[in-house]
Amino acid sequence: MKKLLMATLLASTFLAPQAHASGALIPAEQFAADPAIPGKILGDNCSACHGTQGRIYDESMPPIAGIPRDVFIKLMMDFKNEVRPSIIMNHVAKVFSQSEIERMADYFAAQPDAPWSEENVLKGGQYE
Amino acid sequence: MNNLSRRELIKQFGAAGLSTGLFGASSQAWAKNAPHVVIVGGGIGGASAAKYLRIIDKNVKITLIEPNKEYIFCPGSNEILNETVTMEELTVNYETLKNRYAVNVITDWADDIDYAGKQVKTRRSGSIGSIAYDKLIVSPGPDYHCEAIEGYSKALAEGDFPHAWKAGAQTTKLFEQMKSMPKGGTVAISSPPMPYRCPPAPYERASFMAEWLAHHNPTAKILILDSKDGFTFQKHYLDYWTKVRGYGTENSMIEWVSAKNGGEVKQLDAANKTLITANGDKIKADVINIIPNHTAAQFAKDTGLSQGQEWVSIDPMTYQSRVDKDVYVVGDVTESSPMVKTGYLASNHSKVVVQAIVDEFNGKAPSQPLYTNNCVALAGDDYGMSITDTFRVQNGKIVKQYGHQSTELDNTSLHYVRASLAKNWQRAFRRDIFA
Amino acid sequence: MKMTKTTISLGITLALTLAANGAMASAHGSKVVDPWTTADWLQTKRDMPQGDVIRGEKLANDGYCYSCHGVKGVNPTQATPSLAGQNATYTYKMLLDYKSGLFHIDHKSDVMIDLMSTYNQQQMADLAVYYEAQDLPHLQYAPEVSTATAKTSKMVRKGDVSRLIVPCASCHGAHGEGGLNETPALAGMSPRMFVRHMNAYRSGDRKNDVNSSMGQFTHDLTDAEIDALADYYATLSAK
Repeated sequence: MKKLLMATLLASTFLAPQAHASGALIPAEQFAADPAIPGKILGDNCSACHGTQGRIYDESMPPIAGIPRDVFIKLMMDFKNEVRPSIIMNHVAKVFSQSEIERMADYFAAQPDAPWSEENVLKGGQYE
Repeated sequence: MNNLSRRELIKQFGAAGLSTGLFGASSQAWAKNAPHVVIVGGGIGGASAAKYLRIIDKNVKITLIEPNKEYIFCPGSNEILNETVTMEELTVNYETLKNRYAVNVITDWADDIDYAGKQVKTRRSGSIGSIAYDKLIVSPGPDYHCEAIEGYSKALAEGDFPHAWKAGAQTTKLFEQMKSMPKGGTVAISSPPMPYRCPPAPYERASFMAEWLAHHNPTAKILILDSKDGFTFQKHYLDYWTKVRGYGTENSMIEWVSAKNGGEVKQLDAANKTLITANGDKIKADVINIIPNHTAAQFAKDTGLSQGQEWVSIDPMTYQSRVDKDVYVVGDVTESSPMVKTGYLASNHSKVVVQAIVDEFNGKAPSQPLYTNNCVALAGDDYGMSITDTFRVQNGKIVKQYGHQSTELDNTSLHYVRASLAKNWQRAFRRDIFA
Repeated sequence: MKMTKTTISLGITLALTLAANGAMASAHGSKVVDPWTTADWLQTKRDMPQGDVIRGEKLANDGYCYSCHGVKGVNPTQATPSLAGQNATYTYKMLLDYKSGLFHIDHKSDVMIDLMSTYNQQQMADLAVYYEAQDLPHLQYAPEVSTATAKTSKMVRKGDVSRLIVPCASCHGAHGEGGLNETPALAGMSPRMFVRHMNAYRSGDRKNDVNSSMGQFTHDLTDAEIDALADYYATLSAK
């Protein structure tokens, strides 16, 4: 029963797109020989939904700052492998390699679990 | 020798910076006078650059040159037309950048670049000022080539034929025109050829206007005259319009005429409020909204950044211009195919740029970039869609690794959840750039 | 209660005011809905349809509830509450209160109000029993060791007579398992959610409790006490 339900879930959520301007996925492995993208550059692509450094607490998309590293990795791998269903995250996660997900996990795990609005941006600098 | 100890320099630049030979004549000036990054344009690309540069470098001097004292968010501005957002919610000023991020904001027009002297020339109310830079980031957005449609002009856009493709007074004007339309009146929207900023937006606009009209002027009609044969989220919009606007029936509130069916608008007869299409058809409308052909900002042309081409060519690894290695160009004005033109991508270009600049200050090679456009649109307050586009750079070229549009399923809960995601994204995005 | 045009335009006026003050505009913020009377709630409870777990499971999946509340109602984030193991009567009542608009804290409530417009009472009952049939998450959001002090435990078990606060446990259960009437389980609850709702009761933004039967106990609680209670319940096991 559970397997059938999950299969139905998967089928309904992951239909192959036929819409205009879609592009088939080039697996992350095809870019493995290129220099590694730093975790911060990967992670800062997430800010439009999840807030600066993953620190937005006022919206439906959850904050990810301070998320335990292994929790992040499991969630992203589950999204990538379509084990965990989602509205959009399956397609966001699909593009990353395991090591890229690990670097993002390191980045977000290191951020303080507090809203970006509370951050003292100038701390430690000449304008402080 | 400089006044700072080696220990303090390590604190500022990191040990790696020192080991790659920052000591020497230039580092003396460096330690005393922080490097100066100047940003032309205070829209999404420019503001992102300022904020994200400050986050990674607490000591660099940052100057933003922007002619307006406020910025009105263009993403999310279609929502003025179905009254689900107010101009106040869309409007931000530069106080946060000034106070929270220590950005020097100059209210002025940038007119030219002196590449050799590394200065930006600004207008400064009559006299020409100039601002010296170590690195320059240029984010001027597109300009609109109104004359691509015969009889249309910038003056008309600022008058009775608002394009409202940069949010502001024209958006309010367009709403007022729709509101004042007679019962059963017609709105005609001319949708431009690619590339233009925010591909689904003309259809989202039509859809929001239909939503408003359905409540206030239910016999009104909307006609979309397209220079294209298809559009982003086409099936979503057609599904939605079929379900709620009678699309495909005689009573349809919305009609879409593709280019191959003669929809392309060639001419505006302003005096008679008439559009003339490629077919020779004359369409008289009560409200005419021409979304104009896009072109590179005049600043990009005047400064030679576009090198006589349609858009500004850049090195996608760092978004450095091809004209000068100290000048970076981001956003809609760039030639970034196969990327589309969106504010989402502009902000992600800027993040890569500022990292590349700071890496160079520290004597490091630029990192490998990533650019995503995981963006949203709405068909109505109760129906949302999303797109996930990812771009990498390989062998100096932009590669579209993946492009996915949300699948069109007939499920009301899904539409609501996606709509909630879309609405939340607008607010989160605004805050990521300006807060 | 349907949204009238007047309510919509009131909503826009309110939205303008809110926006000018920097708050987020809410599509449903201005709605005026009558609060529960005891009699109304008891009648509604008597009329609650018999829910079906299998139907509820299908509804939860077809309805994309997992996209915010997690698969099987276990949310790995604290952006929304977990629903797994929650008291069915409570869940049912919450869905009704979203549908009517009686429950509205801020713009984050809008999506549930929108969604519930398409659900009827039978479906709500089916969803409620489906989620109740799952296990309450344990230690989802909190470390093994509770940081609760003796003072907090005392508040839970004995209340505070001086402030007319009855023991939390008297309604929410000795183990936070809930269940008396419509009271929810609190064991294992996300501390972020706990604090949001206690604050909303305290400020009056949340007012869907019958006869203010929850809100009345929050008015004299301090921020520190609410945080302490949140931590207490986050580590509590219902068993």
